[in-house]
Amino acid sequence: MPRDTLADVSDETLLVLYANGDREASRVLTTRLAPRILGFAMRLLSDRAEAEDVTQETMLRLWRQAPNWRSGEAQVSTWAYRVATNLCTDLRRARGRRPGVALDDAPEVADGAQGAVAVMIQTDRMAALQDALAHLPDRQRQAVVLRHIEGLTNPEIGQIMDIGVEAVESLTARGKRALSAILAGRKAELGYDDEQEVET
Amino acid sequence: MMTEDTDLDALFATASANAALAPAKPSDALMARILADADALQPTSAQPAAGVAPPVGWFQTLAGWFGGGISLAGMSMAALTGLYLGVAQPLPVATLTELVTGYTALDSLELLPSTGTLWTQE
Repeated sequence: MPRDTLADVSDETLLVLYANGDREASRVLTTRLAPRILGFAMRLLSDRAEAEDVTQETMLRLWRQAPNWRSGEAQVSTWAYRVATNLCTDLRRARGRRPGVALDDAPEVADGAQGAVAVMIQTDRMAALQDALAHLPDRQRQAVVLRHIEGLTNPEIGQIMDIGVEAVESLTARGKRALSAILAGRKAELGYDDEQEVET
Repeated sequence: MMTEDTDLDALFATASANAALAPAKPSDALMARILADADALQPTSAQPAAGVAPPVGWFQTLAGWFGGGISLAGMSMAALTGLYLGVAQPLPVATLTELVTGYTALDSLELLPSTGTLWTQE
């Protein structure tokens, strides 16, 4: 089926088409999912090479699952996030925890119409956020990233992490408190003091 | 504590917007690996491999000899009906045989004379 025709097709339908032998479906699904999984894994692992491995393995498992996919049980993206989360957890356990992140591995900042200085400030802030995230316990980091950066709902996060909604809320609340504490000493460095002075 | 919730929420909002506007870009090599996996694992059509005939059971073979399962079912029904007519002797059949043969009961009907009778007659 032509790629244009598949643009508006749901992830689940694409997976069924793939299982039925449509090669183009796998290309469209990869284009949709791989960047999201890669970005998510980079947030959790702070390492692009490892995040790429996780992305490839997640997609590999999706292809394997395609013939047995149960329609309506879960969203394809939620399923992929779940697999990626578990892979990241396994990877961190296997290789030991490595808090901190090289600036090169920090997620990119959208340029848009911002000036160069603004872009640099945003880049520093994103790097600081990533650094702080890397110091959180695994479960808190997963919940915070899924909720506040990936923009998933608490029930979706509960499915991904195999916990209840209340546990998700607890993890994200504790994660946010921990992030605030970690970032407390960097307020001036990240330019928040200057902004407040300008505002007052 | 440095960051009021608004500061942290602003950081999250920026990170979330960046994730949407400038999502992580998989390298060409990664995309190639993923698609190679997809091609390798893609199920083929449900048809059996060429040159391998599907297994055929004895019943299918038998039905094939008589023109298929429906024909076999019809023959079975006809055989059972004949057996029933022979054993139960329903009234219409008994009446018909009485008219033709003159016997009122079929129990003693002798369709072929016994060989003893033939010898005696000679």
